[in-house]
Amino acid sequence: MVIDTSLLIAFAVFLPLLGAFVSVWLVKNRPRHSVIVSQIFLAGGISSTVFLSLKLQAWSFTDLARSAILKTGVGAPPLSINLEVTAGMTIVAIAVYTVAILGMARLSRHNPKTQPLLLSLVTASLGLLFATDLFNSFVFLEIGSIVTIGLTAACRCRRRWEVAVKVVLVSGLVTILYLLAVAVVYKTTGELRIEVLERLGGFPALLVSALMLTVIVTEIKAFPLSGWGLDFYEGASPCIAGVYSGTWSLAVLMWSAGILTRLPVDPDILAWIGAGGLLLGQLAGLRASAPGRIMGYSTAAYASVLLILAGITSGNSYLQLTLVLMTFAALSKFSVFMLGEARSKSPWKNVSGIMLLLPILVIIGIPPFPVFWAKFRFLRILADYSPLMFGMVVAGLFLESVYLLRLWSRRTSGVLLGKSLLSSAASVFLAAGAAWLSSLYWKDINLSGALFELPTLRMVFMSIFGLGTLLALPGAFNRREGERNYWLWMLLSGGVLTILPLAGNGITFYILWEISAFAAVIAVSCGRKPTAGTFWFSVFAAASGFLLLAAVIISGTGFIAQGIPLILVSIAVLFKLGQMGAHLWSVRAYSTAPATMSAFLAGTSSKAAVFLLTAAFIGAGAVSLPIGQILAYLGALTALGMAVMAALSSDYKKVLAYASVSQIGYILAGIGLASVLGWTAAIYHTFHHFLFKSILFLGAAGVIWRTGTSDYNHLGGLVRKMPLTFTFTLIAVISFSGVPPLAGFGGKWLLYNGLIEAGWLPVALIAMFASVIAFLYAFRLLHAVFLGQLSTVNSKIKEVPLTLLIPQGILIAILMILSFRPDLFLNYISPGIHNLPGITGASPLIEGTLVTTAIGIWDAWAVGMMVMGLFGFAFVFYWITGRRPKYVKQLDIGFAGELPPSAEEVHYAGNFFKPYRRALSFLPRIHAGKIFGGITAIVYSLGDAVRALFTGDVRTYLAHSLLFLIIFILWMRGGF
Amino acid sequence: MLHLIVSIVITSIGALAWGLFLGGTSRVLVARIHGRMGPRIIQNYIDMWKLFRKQSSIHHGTMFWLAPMFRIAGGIGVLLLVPLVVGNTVIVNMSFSGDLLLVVYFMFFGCLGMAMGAGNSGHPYAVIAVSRGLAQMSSYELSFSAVVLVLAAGLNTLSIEGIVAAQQGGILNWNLFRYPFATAAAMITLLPMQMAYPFSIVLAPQEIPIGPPTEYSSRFLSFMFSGRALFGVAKLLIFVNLFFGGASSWISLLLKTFLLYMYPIFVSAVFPRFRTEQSIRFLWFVPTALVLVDLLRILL
Repeated sequence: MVIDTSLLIAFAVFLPLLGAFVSVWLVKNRPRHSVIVSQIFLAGGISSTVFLSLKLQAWSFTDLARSAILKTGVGAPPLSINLEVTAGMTIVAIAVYTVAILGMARLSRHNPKTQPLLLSLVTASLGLLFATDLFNSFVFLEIGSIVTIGLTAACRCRRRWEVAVKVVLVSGLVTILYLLAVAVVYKTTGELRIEVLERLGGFPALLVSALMLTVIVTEIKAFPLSGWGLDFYEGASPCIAGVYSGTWSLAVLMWSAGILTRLPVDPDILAWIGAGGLLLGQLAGLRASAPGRIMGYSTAAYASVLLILAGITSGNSYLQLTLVLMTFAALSKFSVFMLGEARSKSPWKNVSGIMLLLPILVIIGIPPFPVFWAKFRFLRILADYSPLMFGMVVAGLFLESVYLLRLWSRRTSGVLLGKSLLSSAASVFLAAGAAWLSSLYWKDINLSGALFELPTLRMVFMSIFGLGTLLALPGAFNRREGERNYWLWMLLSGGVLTILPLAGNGITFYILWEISAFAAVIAVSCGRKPTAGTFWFSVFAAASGFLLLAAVIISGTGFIAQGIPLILVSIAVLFKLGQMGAHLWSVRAYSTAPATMSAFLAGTSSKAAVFLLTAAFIGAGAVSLPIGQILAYLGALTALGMAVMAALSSDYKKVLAYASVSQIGYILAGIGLASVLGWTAAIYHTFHHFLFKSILFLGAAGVIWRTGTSDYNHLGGLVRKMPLTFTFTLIAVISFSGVPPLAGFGGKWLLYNGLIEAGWLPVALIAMFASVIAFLYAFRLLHAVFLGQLSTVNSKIKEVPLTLLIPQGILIAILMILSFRPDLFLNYISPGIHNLPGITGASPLIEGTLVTTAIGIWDAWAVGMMVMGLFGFAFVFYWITGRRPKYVKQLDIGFAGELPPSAEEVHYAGNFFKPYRRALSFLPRIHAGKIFGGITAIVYSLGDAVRALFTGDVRTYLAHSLLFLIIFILWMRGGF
Repeated sequence: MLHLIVSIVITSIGALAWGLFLGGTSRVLVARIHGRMGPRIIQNYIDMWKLFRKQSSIHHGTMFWLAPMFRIAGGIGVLLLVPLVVGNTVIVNMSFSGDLLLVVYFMFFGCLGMAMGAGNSGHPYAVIAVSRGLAQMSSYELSFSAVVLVLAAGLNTLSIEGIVAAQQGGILNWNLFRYPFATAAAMITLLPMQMAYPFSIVLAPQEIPIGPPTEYSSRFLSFMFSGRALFGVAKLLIFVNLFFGGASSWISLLLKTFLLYMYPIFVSAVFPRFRTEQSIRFLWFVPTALVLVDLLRILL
C-alpha cells in the first residue's frame, strides 16, 4: 500500500494538535485516561514521522534536502499553510516526538493541565520545522511562544511568574521585530517564501538581515542575547526546561539554521559573531553553579556553534552537521534536566552519577557519541577556515566542558534507577544514534597500527595495557563499603587502551584515548569520596583531550606535525601524566579512587600518555630539542618536588600517588633526551614503572581493604599479619629506589648514562637527588605500614585476598626476570630505537649479560648473583652456627627501664621527617593549588566582567536585543 | 669461579681485619685527644669475638633477623665492586661488573636493610635515628651525586677502573688536584658517611640510645659491627680510588686508607654535634656550592 506523503505530513504535524483539543476535555472530565490518550496521539504522530523519514531515505544521510510537500487550504501561502518536509527535518521531528513522549509521562504528574500545552508545543515545533513561508513560520512561532509561557506558568516552582513574564516580554519584542522584517520583505518582493530572502538587495537586505539576525540570536539564545534564556532555564522547573529544550528550542534552532544561510549577510560575519559569542559566553558561564543556568550556558554555546556553522559550511554538510549537533545535544540536555527532575520535591538533589555523566559527555562531544563526529568535522573545517577562530572555538568548548563536568561532579551520588528511567530511555536512544552514526563514519577508523614503524615498541605498550588491566581486574571485586561497582568501567578503559597502540591515524588514536580516559573518570567516581579528585581528573582529561584533538586536526593527514601540534601534544601529555602543576588531579584522583582503580591508573593508564609522547615524536620525524629539553627539566623537577611531597605525606595512597608522579618524571627526562640511551631508558623505566607501581598500589588496595584506613598513624606492624604483601611491597620498594640488584637500577643507570653522554648534567643532578629522596618515602612507607608496632585494632586481620595477591605475584615474577636478565628486554627494544629518525647517540652494547655504554658498565646478572650469594652465605652462616632466637612480644623492647605505653603510642609514623620539614622551612610554600587558583581567579574575573551583562532584569535583555540590532546595522553600514 | 670465591673470601677477611684495626686505632687516638689512656688497639677484635660467641636469644620478627645479613651482604658487596690495587690481576673480584653508579646505589643496600631491621624491632628510638639518618643521607647525596657527575663528565668514564687509570702518572693527575672543589665537597660528605661528628646524628648517644642497633645484641650485634667495619673500609677504598690516585701497591693502599680514616676521627674529636636540620642545611649548601664550581667549569 502506498501511503501518500502529504497525509503523513498532516498526521505528523496535526495529530498532536487534535490530541490537544481532545485532552483539554479529557483532563477535565476523565483525568485518569487523559495521559494514555495523549500518548496515543503522540505515538500516532511519531509513527507517521518515522514513515516519512523512511520514505525520504533520511537515514542514508546522503541527501538531507530531499523533500515532500503538503499544501493545505485553497490559496497559496501566506493565506494558507504550506509545509515542506525535508529528510533531515524528519529526523529532528522524531527527536522532538521522543522528547515529548518521554516528557509527557513526567510532566502530567506535576500538572495534568500541561498535557494539551505539550501537545500543542509539538505541533508548533513541527510546523516551524516544516514551514516554507515567513508568515507561516510566524504563526508557529507565536503558538510556540504562547505555549511556552503557559507551560512555564503551569509548573510548580517558585520563580515561575518571573520567568513567564520574561518570556512574554522577550517574545513580544521578537514578534515586533520579526513582523517588521516580514513587512519589509513583502513590500520589497511581494512574496513571503523563505527563499526570497536571498534575493533581497540594498538597504532592505541590510534591514531585514539585521532584524532577522536579532530575532534569531535572541530566539536561539546565543551570546550576547542569551540572558533571558539563562534565567528561563534556571527559573523553570527542570522538567519544563527539559521538555522545552528538547522540543521547541530544538525546532527553533533548526528553523534558524534554515533562515541563517539565506540571509543576505556575509557568512564571515556570522561566523565571527558566533566564535566571539562562544568564547565570551562560555567565559561567563565558567562560574555558574545553578544546574539550570549551566544548561543555559551550554545552550548558548550550541547556538553560537550554529552561527559559526552557518558562516563556514554549506549544502549537505551544513545540514548534516547542524542536524547531528543540535539534535543529539538537545536530547542529552533533556536527559540532564530529567535527571535533575528525578526528585521533584527538591530538584537537582542526589542526581545519579553515571546516568548524568553520559548525556554530559554527549554534550561536550566525547567519542563515540554522535555529537563528537559532528564536532570533529566542524573543527576540521574550522581549522582550515581560520586558525584564530579555531583556537577561540576550542577554548570555548573546553570552558563549556569545565562547567558541565563540575555540574556532574557536584551532583554525583548514588544510582537512582527507576526514577531516572525516562532519561535513561533517552540515553538508549542516544546510544543507538551513536552506533548508527559511527557506522556512517567508520571509514575514519583505522586500526592498522600505522602510526609508526616500530612493532617492538607497540608490543611493549600493548602488553603493559593488556596485562595491567587483567591483573588489576580481580581486585576490583573487593569493594569497600560505599564504593560502587566499577570493574566494568575499568575493563572498558583498559580494553580500549590495549588496542590504542594499533591506532593507525590521529582520529582513531583520539577516539580510543578519550573513551579510555572517560571510562576511567567514571570508575574513579565510584570511590567513596570522589568529588574533588574526580572533578579535577575529568577537567584535566577533557583538557588533554581537547589539546590532542586540536593537535590531530592541525596536523592534518600525518599523525603529529612539528611545531604547534607537537607543543600541544606535549602539554596534553604533561596534563595526562599529572606532572608538576597538573599533579593537582593525579594525586587527588589516585588517592580518592577505589584502591584497585588507583593501581590501574598509576600503573597502566598513565602509560598511554608515554605512548602518545613517543608516537608523537616519532610521527613528527624527530624530537624537537627545545621541547625535549623543557620536558627533561620538567620531568626532573617533578621527580624532585613530588618525591619531597611523598616523603612528607602521611597517607599511604597519597604517598604512592606522589611517588608515582615523581617516578614518571624520569621517563619524561629520558624521552626528552632524544638519544638511543634516553629512549631505551624511558621505555625500560616505563615497563618497570608499570610493574612496581601496580604491585605497590595492589598491595595498598589489600591493606586498605583489610584495615579500612590508609592513614600511616593507624597502620603499622602488619608484617606479621600480611607477610606476602610485605614481601611484595618490599621488593617493589627496593626496585624503585634503584638499589641493585633489582630492576629499578637499570632504568636509572641507562638514564644517567644518557644524560652524562649528552652533557645534560643539571638534569642528571636533579634526577639523582630525587632518586635519593625516594629512599625517604620508601622507608617511611615500609615502616609506617608494615614495621613498627601493630595497632591493637588490627590484631585480628588476615593476609589480603588472593584476588590481589596472585596478580602481585605474577608482576613480581616479571620484575625478577627483568632484574636479573635486563639484557633480554634491552635486546628486544634497543635495536628498533636505534633506527628511529631523529634519535641520536650510540646504542648500549649488549654482550651476554654485560651491558656497556661509552662510559659505563653494568652486569645485572653478575651483580645479582653476587648479592644473592653474599646474602645467602650470611644467612646460612648464621643459621648453622647460631642458636635460634625466640620471638618476643611486640612491646618487649628495651624502653630505658620503663614499661612501654600502648602500641599505638610507641609506633612512630606521623611527622616522620620533621627535621627535613624544618630544614626546608626557608623555602616559600608553593602550592600548585594556589597557582591554579590564581589562573582561575583571572579567568573568573574576566568571566565576571562578561557576566555583568546578565543582570536578571528583563529590561536589560530587551535593551541588549535592540542594541544588537542598532550596532549590527551601524557596523554593516560602516558608521552613521 | 673457585678463584673468584677465594679472592672474595680473602678480600672480605682482610677488609674486616683492617676495618677492626682502624676502629681500634681510632679508639686509642680519640682517648689520647681526650687525655685518657684508652683501650688496647686489639680491643675491637676482642669485642667482636666476644659478641660473636654470645648467642642472641630474642628477635622481633623476620626483618629484624635479616637486617644483619643485609648489612654484611651490603658491606662485602660494595667492597667487591671496587678495584683494590692498580694493575693487580689476582684479586679483582667483581669490579668489572659495575661502575661508579652501581656502587653509589648499592651503598644503600645495607643501609636499607638495617633501617628495616630497626623498624621491625618496634623500638621508636631506633626508627627516630633511621629517620634522621635517611634525612641526612639524602642531603649529602646531593653533593656526592654532583661529585660523581663531575668525575664522570670530566674524565668521560663511569668505571672506577677508568677513573683510577686517568689519575696515573704523577701526583698532579690526582683528582684531588684536578678537581679540588669536588674533592673538598666529597671530603665533607665523607664525615656524615662515616657517622663522624658534627654529623653523627644517627647514633646520637645522648638523645637516642644508639640508633638503629638499639635492640640488637650479642651475635646479631657482631654481624652489625662487622658489616660496619667492612662498609667503612669499602667507603675509604672508593675515596682513595676517586680522588687520591688509587693504590699502586698493597702498602700504599693500607697507608692511604689509614690516613683517610684518621681524617674523620680528628674532625670528630674536636667538634660538637649538629642538630639534624642544621646538618641537613649545611650539607645541602656548603659542599654543593663547592662542587658546583667544578661542575660549572666542566659545563662551560
